[in-house]
Amino acid sequence: MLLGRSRSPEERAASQVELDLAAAFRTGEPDAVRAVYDRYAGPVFTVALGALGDRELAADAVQVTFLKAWRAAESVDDTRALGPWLYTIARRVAIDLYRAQRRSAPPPGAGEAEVVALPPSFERSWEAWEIRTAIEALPAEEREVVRAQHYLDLTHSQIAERLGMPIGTVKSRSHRAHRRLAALLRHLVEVTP
Amino acid sequence: MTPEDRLASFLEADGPALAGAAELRRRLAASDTWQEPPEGLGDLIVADIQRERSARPGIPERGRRTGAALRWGAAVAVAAALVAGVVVAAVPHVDAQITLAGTERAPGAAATAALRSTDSGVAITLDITRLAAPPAGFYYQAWVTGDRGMVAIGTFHLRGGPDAVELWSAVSITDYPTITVTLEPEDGNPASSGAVVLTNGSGGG
Repeated sequence: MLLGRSRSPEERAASQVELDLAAAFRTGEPDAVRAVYDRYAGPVFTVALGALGDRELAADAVQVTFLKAWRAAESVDDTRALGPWLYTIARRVAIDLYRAQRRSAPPPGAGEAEVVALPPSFERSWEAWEIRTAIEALPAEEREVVRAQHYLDLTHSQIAERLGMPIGTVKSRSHRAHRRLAALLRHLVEVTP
Repeated sequence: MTPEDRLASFLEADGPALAGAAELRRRLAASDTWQEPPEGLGDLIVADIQRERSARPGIPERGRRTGAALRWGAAVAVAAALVAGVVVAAVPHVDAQITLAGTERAPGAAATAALRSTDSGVAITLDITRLAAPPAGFYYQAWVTGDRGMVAIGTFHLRGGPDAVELWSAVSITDYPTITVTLEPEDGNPASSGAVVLTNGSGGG
């Protein structure tokens, strides 16, 4: 059972790194904006793509999310963690884009004034955000192994061959990566002792 | 074995089945999880924010004078001097440049307004990028706005692609410092629709 609601964005403690990043972001300095983009563009894109199912729309959502975030940054509580706050903006932007798309091209039989219902993908977007954020936090060489294993569905032997490294290295990287992921995603899962 | 160990083993697929984490494993294999935003999007966002940042001093925030605000004030002062016919030595032919950013109606759109004094008013060349042509039955209209109200300075459509549009203002840019572009329907109504697509101020329409 996923426990996405047990750890809401507001309840999560803000790390000092995030607070520093948020403070820098508020200045709008190019390096600070770039640092926030590099850290969160992936998770924002994952949430938007999962919800909208279209790369161009998802890219628009990323752009609008960062602009809205910057515009609102000065008025946000400076103890609030940047990541979960960006997530709430990204989700809202994706919902608005989804509804705008549906209203401009309603399915046959739908009334013009009908409220546009959201697809189930929106309900699980917090888990999508957390998983992408956890993946982004992995060292690059471990991320590469996890991607090959899960997304490309390769065995350890195939990964070793593909990446040109000993299978022992693949196994140790895979083990470390999954330990890190478990630590980062533990709060989403109910595991009985 | 701790719960975290069990989860790590399950995610790595060599541990005992853990039904509660099946969704996590499904998502680890999902395409959305691994897709990257388009190349160059970060540069675009950084540029968008810099444009808005440089335009922010146009927002009427009393008593707040940042470095950018001072630069903005200087640009407006130069423009005003030239509108009044004052010849200032060493002022280039283009008297001042003002940056406009796309609103939520046109995210990513941008424009640079080059102001040039003439005997008949202020010639404003609006160099516009990433603003799509309006739908059929609509056009774009540019305005200057100040405490005294709003003055139209020209209409255009961009149906030939990105372009530098020539606009004219008969009123002082000092008095009307906010430049906006709105999307207007062809309905014969001379008032602004309020649908702002580009601005150097805070008005998003």
